[in-house]
Amino acid sequence: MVITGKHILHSAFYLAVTLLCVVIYFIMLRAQYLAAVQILVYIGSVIVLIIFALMLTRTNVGDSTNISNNQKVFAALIAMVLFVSLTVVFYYSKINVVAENSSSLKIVSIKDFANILFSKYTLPFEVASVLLLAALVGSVVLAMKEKKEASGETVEGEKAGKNGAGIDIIKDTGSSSLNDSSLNNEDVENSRAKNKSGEDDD
Amino acid sequence: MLFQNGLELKLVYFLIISAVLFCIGMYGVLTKRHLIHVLLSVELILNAVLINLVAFSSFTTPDKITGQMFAVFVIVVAACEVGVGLAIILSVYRKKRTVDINNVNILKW
Repeated sequence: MVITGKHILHSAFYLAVTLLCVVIYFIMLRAQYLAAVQILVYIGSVIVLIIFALMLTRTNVGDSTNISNNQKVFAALIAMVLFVSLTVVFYYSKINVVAENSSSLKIVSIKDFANILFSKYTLPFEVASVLLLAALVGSVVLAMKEKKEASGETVEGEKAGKNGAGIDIIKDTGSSSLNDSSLNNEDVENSRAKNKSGEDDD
Repeated sequence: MLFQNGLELKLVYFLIISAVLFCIGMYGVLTKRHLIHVLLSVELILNAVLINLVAFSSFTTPDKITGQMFAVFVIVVAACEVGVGLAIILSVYRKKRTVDINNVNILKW
């Protein structure tokens, strides 16, 4: 479904469903902490990131996203051959590890997990955090680089837009309050003139 | 608890599921032309790897949780990969105004 979805947004949601199925497998394997991490990281952030990127790169490909290139038969052949060979390997390799009863699959508690993570695997943990930081900075730099010339103008435009909106709100509230209090027309005209002068200043 | 009555849980089932997921993902990587679609397929492959790791970990060495620890680091690296990949896709889109993978041939000699 992820591969054959008509629209790529549908593919993203099918990917979310697939990840939920993977979560179910994790729970069957008594890896509750990993299931929680999978939900949080994949379904929480990765899918949202992908959908944001889809919105940002809205283009004419969006109409017919399911276009494949001309390697379809070749790729299907490779995938089928790989799958069959893997199955044959599994069949002949005598991996007949069966969980005798379900209690032999130990439920990994978060306490054990944290003990091992922060005693034995401290260095990989720190390296992973540095990697996350590097990926964050790198992605921000990659996404910001092209807009460097136009960024000043857009920021100023946004500020002007915000000021204009604020003035409009002030004008509306002022005019309504003036109407409610039924002051004379001169004050209303004065306030409108003030608002116009403020707009001209901006 | 879950499989008390006769239905037994084998490692091979999980390996086959993982193989199916891996092959679907590889087919997607090889055929799709949309850049984000390729990224989705890579996510499928990474999930196949995760299922493999966790299955071997909890079937062969249920006392240690080395495989699950490794899976956590794989998840971290996958999140990094998605972030950087989407940033690269945005940059490419901004430069070329397309996300078609056939038009992205800057590195082609």
